[in-house]
Amino acid sequence: MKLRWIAGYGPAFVLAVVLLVIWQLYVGVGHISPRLLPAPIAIVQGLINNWSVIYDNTIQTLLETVLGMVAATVVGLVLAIMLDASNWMRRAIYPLLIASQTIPIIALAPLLLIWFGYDIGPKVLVVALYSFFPIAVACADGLASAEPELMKLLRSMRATRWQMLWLVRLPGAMPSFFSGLRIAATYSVTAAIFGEYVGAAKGLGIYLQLEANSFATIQVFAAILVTAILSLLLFGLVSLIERIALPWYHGAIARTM
Amino acid sequence: MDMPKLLVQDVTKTFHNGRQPLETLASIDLTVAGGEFVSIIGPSGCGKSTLFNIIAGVEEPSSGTIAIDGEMDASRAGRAGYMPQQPLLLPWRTVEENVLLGLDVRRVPRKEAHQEAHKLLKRFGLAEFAENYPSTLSGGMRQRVALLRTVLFNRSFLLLDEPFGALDALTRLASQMWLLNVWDEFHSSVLFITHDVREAILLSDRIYVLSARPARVLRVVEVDLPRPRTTEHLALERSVQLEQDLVALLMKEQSI
Amino acid sequence: MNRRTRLLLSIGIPVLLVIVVAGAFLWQQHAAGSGVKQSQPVSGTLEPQCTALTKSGTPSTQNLTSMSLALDWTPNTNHTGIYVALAQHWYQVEGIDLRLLPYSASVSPDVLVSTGKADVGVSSTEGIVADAAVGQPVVSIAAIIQHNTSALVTLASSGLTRPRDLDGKIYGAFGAPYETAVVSEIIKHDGGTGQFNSVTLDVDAMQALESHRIDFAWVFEGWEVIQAQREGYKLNVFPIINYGIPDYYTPNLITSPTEIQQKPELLRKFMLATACGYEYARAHPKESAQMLLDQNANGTFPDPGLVFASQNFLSPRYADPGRKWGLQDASAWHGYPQFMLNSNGVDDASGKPIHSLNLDALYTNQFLPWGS
Repeated sequence: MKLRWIAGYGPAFVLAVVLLVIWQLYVGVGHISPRLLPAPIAIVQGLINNWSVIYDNTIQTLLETVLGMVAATVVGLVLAIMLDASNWMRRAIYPLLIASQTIPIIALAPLLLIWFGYDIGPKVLVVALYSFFPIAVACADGLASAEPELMKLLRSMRATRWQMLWLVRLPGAMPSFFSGLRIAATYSVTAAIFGEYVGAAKGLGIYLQLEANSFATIQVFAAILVTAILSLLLFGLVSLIERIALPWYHGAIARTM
Repeated sequence: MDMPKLLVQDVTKTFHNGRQPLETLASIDLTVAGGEFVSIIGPSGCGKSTLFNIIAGVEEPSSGTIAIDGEMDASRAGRAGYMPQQPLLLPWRTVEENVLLGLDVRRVPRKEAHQEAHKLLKRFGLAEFAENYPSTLSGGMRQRVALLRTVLFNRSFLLLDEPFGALDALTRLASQMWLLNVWDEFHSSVLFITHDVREAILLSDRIYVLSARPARVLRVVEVDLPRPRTTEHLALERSVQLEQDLVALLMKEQSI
Repeated sequence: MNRRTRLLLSIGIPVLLVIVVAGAFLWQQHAAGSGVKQSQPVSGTLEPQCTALTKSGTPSTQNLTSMSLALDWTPNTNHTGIYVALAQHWYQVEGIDLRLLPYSASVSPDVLVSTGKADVGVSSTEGIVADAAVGQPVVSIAAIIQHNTSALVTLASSGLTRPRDLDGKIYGAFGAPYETAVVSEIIKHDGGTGQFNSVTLDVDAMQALESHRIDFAWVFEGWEVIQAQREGYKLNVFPIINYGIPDYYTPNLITSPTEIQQKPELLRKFMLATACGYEYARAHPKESAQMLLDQNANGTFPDPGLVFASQNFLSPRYADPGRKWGLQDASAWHGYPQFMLNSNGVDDASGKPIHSLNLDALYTNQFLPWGS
């Protein structure tokens, strides 16, 4: 089962390799200045040569990302449950939730800096602000999609509201919750970098800015590479946890084999 | 005579959803004695499921009284094991965990609940599927799991709403025999909804025939067949006669 | 796997991730704390005002007044004097715990200073004039570089060898309201019509120049031009003060009028340490550049050689020979700012161009150790 799962990504892997080879050849044959577009091999070399510095900055960004994701998950779940609690709550909260996403955070960022300063706090906040929405909405949709007949069955058993939530709605909403979580995980690293761009002492966002200001294009690409790898790893981790947590959702077929 | 398990007296139900009030039940009287198997048949859309929801305590009647074990408690929910048309198994729970759902709602300790569920699965031949997820089961199996869930929640009074409606003929027959087996084991009182006249005759002690909407009781028929029942009983002359009578009655209602 | 294991793993994996990342972060903080690079103490003669700073041994870290300085850009050779004073603990000798607020792409030091989020900051004459015009005044308390090192550059291969060749060419702008007027003036001064196309870039102008997306850009001789030389490609450089633009101070150290009113003594102490740092950097480009490198995290400067080369260029320009660092003259504060005002380059808060300002209120020499 596992092998087949990995093999499923074969075409994507092949395509990525082909694109990288074309890129490498294009830069090599076309004598493109490495300051405009460095070749993939040069980027990996740049990454290795500057690993200790990049690692330093990566840890900072990663910490902001995971703390922001934890906060977003908690807030997203609580909001989803509140939305689901009553029609009244849904009508009160949902429009505000949507409205909150129409605020360009890029416009708020300077204020965040002035309000909260240069510490890790505002970056965690930016990550959480970007990530809680897909989690909350996906999870609320999952909760709302519980079958009415099932609710009837639970009511005939004299189940309380909390029992319905805990025994039926919440477990049933888990696949949607994980979809939201995966989207959030994809955004979160970029959100942390954006938070750092506004002003920070350290982090991949700051590293990117430093290198960009020094025209060190190879290092810029190396940092982008790290960003992409981090995002993919987080996405993969969420998928892995989903597979562990929801065997019935993924593994139901696997059981019969 | 003992106190009936269920006593329904002059129950009516009118829905006020749209502009026009919708009269669904027009005075229903019904009893189920202890250990009795009673079926309700009627044309589709006549309000059988509404009656069930009212008895199960999920909905309230517009007027009339319902007494279970002689108690006319407004919060009847929990006094009957209710099984809807779909099996409605929870996909994230294994068969055993689905069976013990009712005990979870009653806050029975998990260990005890598992023991009870396991005993029941073993007794009715489903033990080997205990750890399966419902998605790996056939339709007939799912219905049996749902029935055991109902039995484990409340074995003294079962409300079964067309449980075998969606099964193919052979599976349905096997499931019917299996249900009789369960009923016999626990001496449950059963109220059973069906479209199928033969099914009603095969299973029941008594059959209520309902009219088209607004539903009222057209006729109450005693099924005077020996137990334990087998399919051969359906071939007896009085069974055939009864089936023809009931079908004729229902056809008349259906055409209205 | 049974249900309990699954639940444990589902919660345990994220918790473990947080712990590992936080652990790595704390470990790194710990390692960084113990690995601060110690700079060599200064040698050679110092200004008389500065000798007191070096006399006492290791300064106390107790009872320091905390003070923040907002940087205008990522650390560079414009900031060397500040890093010298930090490396030598001169701020601590003066009883100041100086925190540097890193450069922010979205909040200027002017905003941080005028809202009181920073005590002092690095800005420029253009910024200070614009702040005054919108009613959010800041005051220049020192000129970091006495002469403007701005220049327009083209690629040597472009054949655009003098400003008048720039007529009708594409200029990579950085989005300031005054730059069109300045560029136009330079071209006209060289006999052109002053008409050119302008695209505002969010990206690095030098990259745009190299890839022929633009024909000319505004850069600083002390950094970009030196970097281009080091990387071996040729530029034509037109320093703007050679083409009729009044010379002006950039960058400047700024503070807010409130700060001047409430903490003059703190500013005086800050300026003593800072001025001595720049004076040292004037006389010792190599040592001071090393301090700039040492005081910043690894990776801040991908090319340390550029820092030394840039410092060699800038050190003599921190102040004119025979003059002390930081001093500002009325003539400079009336020349270029008035040029900006005359060319509709300054708008008030409502966006209307204004043509006069009390320019003498925009600067003061009173906090410099050598007086005005």
